[in-house]
Parts: sequence; C-alpha cells; structure tokens
Amino acid sequence: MSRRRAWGIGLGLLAVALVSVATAAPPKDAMVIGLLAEPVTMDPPQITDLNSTRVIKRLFEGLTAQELGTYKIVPGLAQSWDISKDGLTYTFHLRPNVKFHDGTPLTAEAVKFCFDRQMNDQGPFYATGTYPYVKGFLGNVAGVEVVNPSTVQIRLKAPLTPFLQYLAHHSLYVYSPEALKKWGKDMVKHPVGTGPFKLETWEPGVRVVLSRNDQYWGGAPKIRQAIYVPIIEAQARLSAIKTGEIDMTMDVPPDSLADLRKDPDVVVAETNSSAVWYIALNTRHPALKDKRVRQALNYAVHKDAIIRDILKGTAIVATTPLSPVYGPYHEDKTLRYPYDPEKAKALLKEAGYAGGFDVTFFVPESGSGMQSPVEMATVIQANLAAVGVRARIQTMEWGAYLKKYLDGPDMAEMSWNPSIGDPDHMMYMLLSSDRFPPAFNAGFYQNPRVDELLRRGRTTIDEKERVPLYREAQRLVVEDAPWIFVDHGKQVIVHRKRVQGFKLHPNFDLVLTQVWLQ
Amino acid sequence: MAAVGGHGLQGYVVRRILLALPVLVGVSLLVFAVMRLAPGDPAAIMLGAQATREDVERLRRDLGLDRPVAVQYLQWMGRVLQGDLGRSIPLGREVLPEVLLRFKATAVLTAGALGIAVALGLTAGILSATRQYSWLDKLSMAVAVTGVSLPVFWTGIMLILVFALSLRWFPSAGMISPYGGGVTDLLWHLVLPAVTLGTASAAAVARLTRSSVLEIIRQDYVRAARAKGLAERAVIARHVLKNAFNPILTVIGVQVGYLLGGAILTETVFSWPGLGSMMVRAIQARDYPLVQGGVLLIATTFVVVNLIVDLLYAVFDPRIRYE
Amino acid sequence: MFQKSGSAVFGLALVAVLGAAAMLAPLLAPHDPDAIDTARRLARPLTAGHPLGTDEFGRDLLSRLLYGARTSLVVGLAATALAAAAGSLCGLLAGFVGRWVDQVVMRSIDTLMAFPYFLLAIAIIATLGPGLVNGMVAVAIVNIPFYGRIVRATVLAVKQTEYVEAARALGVSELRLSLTHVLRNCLAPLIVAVTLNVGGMITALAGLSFLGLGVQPPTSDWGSMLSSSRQYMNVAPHVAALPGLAIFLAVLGFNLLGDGLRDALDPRLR
Repeated sequence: MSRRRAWGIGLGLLAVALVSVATAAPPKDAMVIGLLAEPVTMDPPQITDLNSTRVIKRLFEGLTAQELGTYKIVPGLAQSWDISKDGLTYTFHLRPNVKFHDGTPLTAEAVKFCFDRQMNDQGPFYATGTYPYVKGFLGNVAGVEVVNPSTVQIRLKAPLTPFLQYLAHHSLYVYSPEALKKWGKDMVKHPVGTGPFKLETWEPGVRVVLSRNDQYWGGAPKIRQAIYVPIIEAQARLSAIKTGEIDMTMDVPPDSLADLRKDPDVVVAETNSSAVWYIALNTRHPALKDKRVRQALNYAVHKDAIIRDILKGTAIVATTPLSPVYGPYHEDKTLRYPYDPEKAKALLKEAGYAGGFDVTFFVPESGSGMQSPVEMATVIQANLAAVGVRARIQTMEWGAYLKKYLDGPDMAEMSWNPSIGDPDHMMYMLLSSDRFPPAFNAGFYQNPRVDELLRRGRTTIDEKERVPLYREAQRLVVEDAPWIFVDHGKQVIVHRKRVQGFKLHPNFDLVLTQVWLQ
Repeated sequence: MAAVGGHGLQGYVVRRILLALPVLVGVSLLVFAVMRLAPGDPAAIMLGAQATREDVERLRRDLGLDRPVAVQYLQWMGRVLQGDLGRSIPLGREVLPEVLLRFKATAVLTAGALGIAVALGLTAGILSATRQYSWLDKLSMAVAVTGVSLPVFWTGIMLILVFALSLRWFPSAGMISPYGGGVTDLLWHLVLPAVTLGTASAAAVARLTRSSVLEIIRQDYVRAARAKGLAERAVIARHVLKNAFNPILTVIGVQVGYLLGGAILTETVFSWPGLGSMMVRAIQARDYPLVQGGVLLIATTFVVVNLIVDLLYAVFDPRIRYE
Repeated sequence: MFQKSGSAVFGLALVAVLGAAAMLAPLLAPHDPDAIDTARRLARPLTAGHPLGTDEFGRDLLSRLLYGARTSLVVGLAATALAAAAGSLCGLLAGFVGRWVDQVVMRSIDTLMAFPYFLLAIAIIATLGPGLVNGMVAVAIVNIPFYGRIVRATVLAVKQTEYVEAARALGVSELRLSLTHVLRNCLAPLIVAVTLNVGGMITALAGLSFLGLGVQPPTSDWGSMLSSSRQYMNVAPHVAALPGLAIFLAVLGFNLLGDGLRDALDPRLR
C-alpha cells in the first residue's frame, strides 16, 4: 500500500511541477518568433536562405537601406553619398561614431575590408567562406578605396543604376574586421555587426537569442530580447501561435487564416510583396516555341480559382512579372489572360495542336517562396488536361530541382522573391538573353527588343526615362508569354496582439527595431 | 571464428568487438557511396543559381570533391580515425561538435521513448501473459496492434492538436522553452514526442513480452514452483523474468536501433533538435561531411548498444559464450 | 486457441475486403479520383454525391481511397515480396555455402541494419529520384536484413537436424535434399514474417510521402493522401482521418492475420 502511495505522491508532484511550467507567462520585454527552419549561418556574404536573413538583418547593416515598408533607398551606414556624372564613382560619407558590437569603430577601412574579402580571391581572408552573390553584385566593381576614415569610394566598371539597391542587400552588409580576423571560418557562429541587436546565444536547432544593442546609433530597440525558434511542421506553428507559445510566425496553412482572423489574441498582417510565382516554359520545345501555344496555356490555367481555393486569398493574380509593389515601374496595361479554356483550345488549334501535346512538368516538393507547389501543380495539370495538354508531373526535392531548373526544363515552377527593390533585378535576371545559357532565364526566352530595353534600363539613372523602358518591356514580355504568369504572393505574418508597432516590409524581412510589447 | 581472444567471457567480448569493426567500415562505405551516387552537387547547391561553372569548379576543388572517389574516401576515413569529421559544407561549422550536440537531443528522445516503450510494453505483456485470454489480454493486445499500425507522423500531429492546441497541457514544439528552461521544462517538452515515438515500440515490446512469458509459463519448472506453493508474484519474478530476459533484451536492442533511425519523422513533426531532422536537411543539401558523420555516429551507437545487449546475454546465459 | 483464431479470421476478413475494394475500384468508385472541382473542396462526409466528402481539390474521397488502396496495397506487397526474395536469397546463400560467404553476407546484413533505416531510404530516394517505384525499392532494400536473418537461421537449423543426416546416409543428393527441406521449413516463418511486415512497409511508404518523396501527383496512395491532408487537420479532419483509418485497417488486418498464421503454423513461436 505504501509503495502505491509513494508512486501517487511522486506523480502528483510531477504533475504540479509540469503545470507550473506550463502556465508561466511570457516576459514583457522579450518576444519569440517561430521560423520555418533555423538559420544556416550568420556570416552575411554567405547567406542564401530567408530564415538566416530574418535573423541577421537585426545584427548587421549596409551602406544603404530600404525605408521600412517600401523599396525606397535611404541612408544606412552611409549618411550621404555622391555619384559622379558618368555614374562610375560613388563616394559614401559614413555615419560618425558608429561602433560594432565588439566595440571597434566603423571606418572606411572596415568597409573596404568587407568588400575586399569577397572580391579579392587572392586575398588573405578569401578562404574563410563561399560567396554566392559576389559575381552578381560586385562583379561590376573596379575597386574600393579609402578616402579618409569616414569616406569610402567605390568605382564601377560600367554605370549600373541598381547599384545602390545592391548595397542594401545582406551580402554586402558590413561587419567587424577584427572579428573576422579572430574567428576566420567560425565567423558563421560569431556575428559582429552594427545593428540594433546583438547575438547572445545560438543553440543549434533549439533557439537563437538576440539581445538589445544599447549603443545602437539609431536608438536602442524597445524590446530587450528577440528569440527565434525553428518550428518545421506547419500545424505545430499554428498551434504555437494560437496558444501564445510564440509571438510571431509565418507560413501558416492558408485554410487556417479564416480562423486566425477571428481570434481576438492574434493579428494577421498582410501586404503585397514583390514575389512572383510562375511556370517557365521552354521556348525551344517543339510545341512551346509557338507564342500562341504559350498564350493558350495562360488562358487555360484558372488562376483565380488557385488563389481563391488553394492560396485562400494570400496572393493576387500576376498580370506581369513586376508586382504593384514596384510602384511606377509596374505596368497595368498588359495583355490579360482571364480563364478561358475555349480560347485556349482555339489558339492551340490555330497553332496546329488541336489534339494537344505531352510535356514534362517539373515541380519542387518545397522551397522558399514556392507556396503550395505540389497542390498548385495538381490543379494546373488538371486545367491543362482540360484543353488537351498532357502534363506529366515530376516532383523533386529542392536541391535536385534547382539543378534541373538551370538545365532548361520544358515546364517548371519557380518563384522569385527579390529583396532587391529594383526592377532590373527581376527582369534582367529572368528574361534577358544576355545571361544564357540559360542561367535563370530557364526557358531560353529571347526577344531582342526586350533585351535592348533591359540593357538600357540598367544604365539609365533618371527615373523619368527609366520607367517607360520597363513598362514597354513588360508589355512585350506578357504578350510573348514565356511564362505562365500565375500570382504575386502576399506576405502573411501572424502575430500576437501584444506585439505592437509591427510593420511589414516588401522583402519579407521581419523588422523589430520599432516594435514594442504590451 | 574459433577461440580468438581465448575462451570465456573475455574472449567472447573480444570476438564480438572484432565482428563489429567490419560493420562500421561497411556503414562508412555505404553512406559514402550512396551520397555520391545521388545527383546534385553540394558546391552548386551552395553557390546557388547565380554561380558560373568556374565558381562551382573552384569550390569543388577547395572542398576536395574533384579527386577520385576512392581517394576522397580514404582521406575522409583517415581523418575520422583521428577524430576529425570535417566541416559541414553549407553550414561552415565543424561536423563533430554539431553532430554530438544533436545526438544528445536524439538520445534524450530515444531514452524517453524507450522508457515509455519498456514500461508500457513490459507491463502490458506480463499482465496479458499471466491473464491469457482474459478481456485484459485481448484489450492490451488490441491496443498494441493499434500502436504498431498508426503512422508516427499522424499520431504526432494528432497529439499536438489535441494536447497542445485544444487542451494546452503540453507545448506544441521544440525541446525546451524559447526562454530557456531546466530539467522540468525538458521533461514537459519530452512527453508528446516520446509518447508518439514510444507507442509503436511499446506495442512491439508488449507482444514479444507476452509470447516469451507465455512460453516460459508453460515450462515444467514453473509448474513445479507453483506446486511448491510459491506466491504467484514470486514465481514470475524469479523464474519467468529471468528466462524471458533474453528475448526481451533482443527486442530492446532492436528497438534502440529503430528509435535512433526512426526518430526522423517524430523530430520533424515536433521540431525536436535531434540528429534525424538535421540529417534530412543535410541529405537534401548534399552535405556529405555532415551526413557521413551523422550516420557513422548512429551506426556506432547501434553497434555498441547491441554489443552491450550481447554481453548481457552472455552474462546471464553461459551457453552462449562458446559460440 | 479459439479466441486467437477469431482475431486471425477478422484479420483475414479485413485484408480480403480491402483487397477486393482495391481490385474492384473502377467499378465501385462513384467518381474519377483525379477529377478536380476546387469550388467543392473539403466537403464533409455525407454531402450529396460524395459519401465520404472531398479533399482539398474537391476530389471525391471515396474514389481516391479505393484507387489509393490499389497503390498502397500493391506497393506494400511488392516491396515486401522484393525484400523477402532478396533477403531469402542472401539467407540461403549464407546458410548453405557457409564459411567466408556466410561471414560476408552476415556482415553486409549487419551493415544494412546498423544504418538508420529511414535515412537509408531517403538517401536511396535522393539517388533514384522520388516516385512510387523508387520508394518501393528503397523501402525493400532497407528491409532485406529482416528476411535474410530468418532464412539463414532456418537453414542452419535444418542443416543440423537428424533426418538430414539420415537422408544423407541413405545417399540422397545433398542439394536436392537440403533445398526441399530448407524451403519447407522456411515457408512457415517466412509467411509469418511477410504478413507482419507488409504493414510496416505501408507505413514506411507513408512516411516517405510525408517528406514529399513518395508518389507523384495526381496518383494517390494512402500515405500521400495522409501527408498532404495534414494542413487541414484542424479545419477538415476527415480528410486526414479517412486515409489514416485506411492505413490503420490494412496494417491491422495484416498483423492479425500474421499473428494467427504464426499461431497456426508454428506453435513453438507463439
């Protein structure tokens, strides 16, 4: 009898202990963000995944920045700059009295150091990492010079209008040279920047704890700690945000949004983004090389149904590669492709494919920004089958998929979520034939007039001259239909009501500097 | 495998260890080969879409991927024997500390699941065996079969929705609270994943325990002990359990292997920071050093556990030593 | 013994019903399992025209379950058959030839067993690419050791029995004699092993689908239905519950059948 009682007491105590842990209230000055996966690395030039950027953008800054909520370029670590008349020399005047988290000062030398590390492959620190973006963003840079401790000059080989946007990209963030010299390859775990937060601990797979940088030049943030935890399973993220275990998260299943919007403790924040989700069509495929066939496919896909039923309204139909977020650059007078299977069949017949044709349709099973790739593919496959086009789906996991995509598949899904707010970055990368074979222009799309417009757009500085170039390019591209234009995904972030002052940013970053907790 | 190392327990241990080594070498070869066979180049994946062919080639050279496969293997094994498991390609971090850290988490989960499996399984199995054909027997066997039949990820998500979301008794994900926590916090987080993972094992343990115990109960000497008038509990404790020990131990050994390797789905569903969830990501990124290091660690653990199980066999049953 | 055979009969009945449903799917299914109707998605069971409701694309669940039975059951059985065949071959080789061949085969089997089984399946799929057949091959390979050991143990046991000695004394050809006796003795444990293993194969395939590495759309198998439905678990639980139930019933049926067969064929193993 007494043994049983001992068991009973033991279990009772355990239950009490567990309940006490369960009902602990969250602290007033710290918040938890549930990410899809934990950050990979914290060395800015090496980062390629969104989750890592969401964390490190609290720790580092670049010479320029984007104004919160828009793609407008504003001063970052450089408080002002001059651009030479020929567009080749940029002179940046650094903010005074800015310190890195390790106490060393921000100087022009530090900026030069960071750029040289990536650019100079003979340099002493080149071997401390790999730099996926250096060719793209710094390939046009002839040199970086120190004019004086607070002025740094960057010379370009050729004028490039988007350059200021590039400087706001995370791969060009500035970090402490002393830290790199000290840690070398282990920089990936020891980030030292100038940002409003600094790294307190990183327990791999468990959590990342950032704490407030009281010496931040822009004024210390109101919250003391930001904690990031990876929650891989979507249902678990949903559960965690509803119970209040986490304060903010993203990518909840679209079907649960209706329920979340009704929940009084939860806020669903949405905004348009620059993302575009499309299907690249191989313009060298026997059937797809005919423009009418490609247009037919665009008429065949029921985009509204996909957005309404699968994405549950978390996107808008894409009528052009550039979403409305691009402001004046967005062209709204493009050819439209409403759902019209009859027109699709007519076009196919006209092109000589009344009996349809077969095509292999590559689909990734996941991937950042791919929304619901397999479900959307299933619907699209059915839409196409209804007009006689037999698409055979081939799913692959992301690593293998990327390789396949770059080989020029016949038909493949892709989404592009640029953090660079310049129209050049999307249009030139994806639709110019300059970068063949084929790089990201997976469908081998080639239109000489479009190429010319995009080339001119890269070097035209005056916005009044630039805008018409991109608008014409969009009209041509949409008519040529090298893609099936599907949707622009909205950014949907779900957070608890106690998180106040949060504003969404078009490049999917979760900015916490101005946030406070109720 | 005659009498290498001599007769008796010592010799047995030596022979078993010697037999284990080729297994580990085999595992290393297998993981090396399979990873290399998979299409997809870790250098290309790392550098992403914007890389040129020269960039990828240069990274491959830096990582030593351009050398012949056999040479790569020997170099890797050479370093492994010195305790260096290399550096993860995409993470840039050293493999050994990374893998050990995640292994601790998987070990905790495995221990929890094993605890539940053994506690539930043994109890159910013994109770069923001693009350064969009663409603208790049929019920627990029914539940056992159910446990084996439900896919782990389904059970996991159901548990989250019921116990975390609806009832708010347990957390939805993770190993510890984001704000940090101690042992109690860890246990609180351990419950749902351990139950998920342990249920299937519990079922297997229960069924096997039941059949082993049944077989022994039928033996003459047990009948004799009963006839002598020993209390039921004493009979069970002394004779039955001692002899049922062997097969039960085997099951436990196998379960450990299953749990270590099968925790992947549970770890993914609960975002448990273990080796399994890390490995899935590593395989997809073709992160050779990380996958190889992780697999080697799991295999070594499995082999060691089985060695211990075999040892315990030999201690309890002298007949085995002379094999 | 009575009660035990009761559950075995129940198991057999389950398997038979599911098998029949799978074979007769084209006759029994009220709709085309791939017909999409996004306006009617996630309809509850007992909606007009859809006795079990619809999935996230508006496809009829009953039809998808029936056709899914074909895929899941066939692949599960095929994977088991593949593993059993390959494993038995290894076991026979090891048991018969003995000596160093035995050692090599056993070490290889140990290696396969030491490898975390699910990771091996994932790695194999990474090599072969996702898909139904590849998934089956991956799961089969991972289960080879299970059968190899059983067969080898049987072969070794048979080799030592007295009446093999006796027959040899009588001059009967060694090979013919051994094979017949061995196979006859292997049959019982193999049958039991196979029936108990099919359930595990089906669940393993479902697990692969969970990670996105199984069948390709629009083909359905219960595993991929289960995994793709988990997004809707709190909104439309029936979409996840029904394929889960189907898997459960199949695995249950095979397990009960296997238990019954084991009790009947080899009382020693009970």
